[in-house]
Amino acid sequence: MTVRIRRHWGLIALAAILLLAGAIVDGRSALAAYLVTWVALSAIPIGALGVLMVSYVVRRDWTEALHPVLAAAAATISVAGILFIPILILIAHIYPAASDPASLPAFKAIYLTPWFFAARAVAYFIIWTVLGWWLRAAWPDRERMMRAASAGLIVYALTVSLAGVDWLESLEPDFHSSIYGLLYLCFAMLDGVAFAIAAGLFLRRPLSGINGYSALLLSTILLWGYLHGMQYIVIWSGNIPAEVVWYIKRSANGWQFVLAVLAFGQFVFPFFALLNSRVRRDRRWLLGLCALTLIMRGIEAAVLILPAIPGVAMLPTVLMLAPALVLVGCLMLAAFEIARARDGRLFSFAIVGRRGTVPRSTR
Amino acid sequence: MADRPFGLLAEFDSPEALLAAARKAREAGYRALDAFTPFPVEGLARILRLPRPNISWVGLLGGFAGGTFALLMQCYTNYAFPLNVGGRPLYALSAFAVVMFELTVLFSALSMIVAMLWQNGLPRLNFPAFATKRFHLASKDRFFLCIEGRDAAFDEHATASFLNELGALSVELMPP
Repeated sequence: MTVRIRRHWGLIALAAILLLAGAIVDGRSALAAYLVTWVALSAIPIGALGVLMVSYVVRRDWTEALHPVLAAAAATISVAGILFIPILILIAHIYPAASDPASLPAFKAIYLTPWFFAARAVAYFIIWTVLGWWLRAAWPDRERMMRAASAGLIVYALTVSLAGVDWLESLEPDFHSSIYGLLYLCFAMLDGVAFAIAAGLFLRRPLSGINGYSALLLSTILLWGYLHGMQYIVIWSGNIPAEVVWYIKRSANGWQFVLAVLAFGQFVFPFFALLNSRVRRDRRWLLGLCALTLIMRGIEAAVLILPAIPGVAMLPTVLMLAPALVLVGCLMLAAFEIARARDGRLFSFAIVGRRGTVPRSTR
Repeated sequence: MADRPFGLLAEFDSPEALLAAARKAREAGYRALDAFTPFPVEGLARILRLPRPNISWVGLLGGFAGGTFALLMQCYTNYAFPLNVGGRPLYALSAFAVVMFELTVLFSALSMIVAMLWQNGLPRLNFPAFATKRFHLASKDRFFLCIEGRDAAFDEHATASFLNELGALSVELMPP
């Protein structure tokens, strides 16, 4: 395991240097590309944490089988937090609250002040990390699990919605949508579910009851489609300029095609594919649909973020996506592997003799 | 034909015994088989060659029918009585989508309920198995195999002795 990570250090360093060079030349594009990648990938541990808590409340065979993967994915949340630091440093490049606070309404200008924004981000990640530790320590004691997950889910739902408003909705401070927090929550859940199922299928070959996992993916996709449909119908009916602009920006300048790809690839195709019971039972189909969902998370992150940033140049942004993907992806995957080898803990506070503190071999 | 019995009901005390008997009955050439068990027995449907349920297709077609009906209905309403609502288009798919979604779900569910009742012939007040003495045990701890009278190989006496040979605890005749 360590060999595999060490082999990629060169690649990670190269990606970091490229990103740094990009940030010096065109800070806005480099940061926009980094934010897209970070939002798409950091939502995996954030979503996995939520799915982990849900799986503690409703215990079935499938939740037991997915537990190692979910726990390991949720443990990488602190790495996602560390990778958020570059965004905090260069915040003035893309967030209007940092670059032009005078243009904001009074409350938003105060709420989104950079230091407060940063303090909240730190608080979210501390809360989620502590939640992850608590959940991991509660396993497999039934009562402690129920207690940790029930309390955790309340805190989780509130903090994740607030984080979505902070990180994504505040890119367009004039836009208001009360469902936005839930949209981000669902974004993260879909990311977490798709990653957990894909990793589970990949690492534990005889994962039984494939159609149950397919149903889990299908219902999460349905929730995603429902929430986006709700926001669209409400904004369409209201027809208020400040809100409608959100959709107009995303259906011009080529974004209409990206939006069509997202709607087809994340909803229409997987929905009709998963109606077929043979597809639902097939391991390779499910793996493919999970991979498609993960790709679509990146595309949705791009649709949510890039049209919101005025004057972002497309070519340098697209060029910067590759090193950002390598940097964030490799580091988070490495963290996931370490956490998986250590039984769902990224850092083991070695209490000698306690179960799960001794690293096991990965494969 | 009218006085031909509905079939013979054989009682077994374990799912394994029922599965073995069902397999032997198929091997002996019986085709019109059915079974009554207190809980679903894995593999039984495959041995009895019970048809795979095709209700999902009914649900899909019902859903499409509901969506189409909702779309046409709203298009016609707006055609027959055009209203200008804040300058929005007359045939506004965004607004139609809500009703289309609702009717898709409604038609899909209703068509499946109707098809289910039609397929299993359900609101039915009596069934020949109720006339036998031990059938009530099918909801407790006994497993019943039924060879129906419409089977070409069915013969009241030969089939009854065949079932006894399979180790049935009891064999009862179901009246027509």
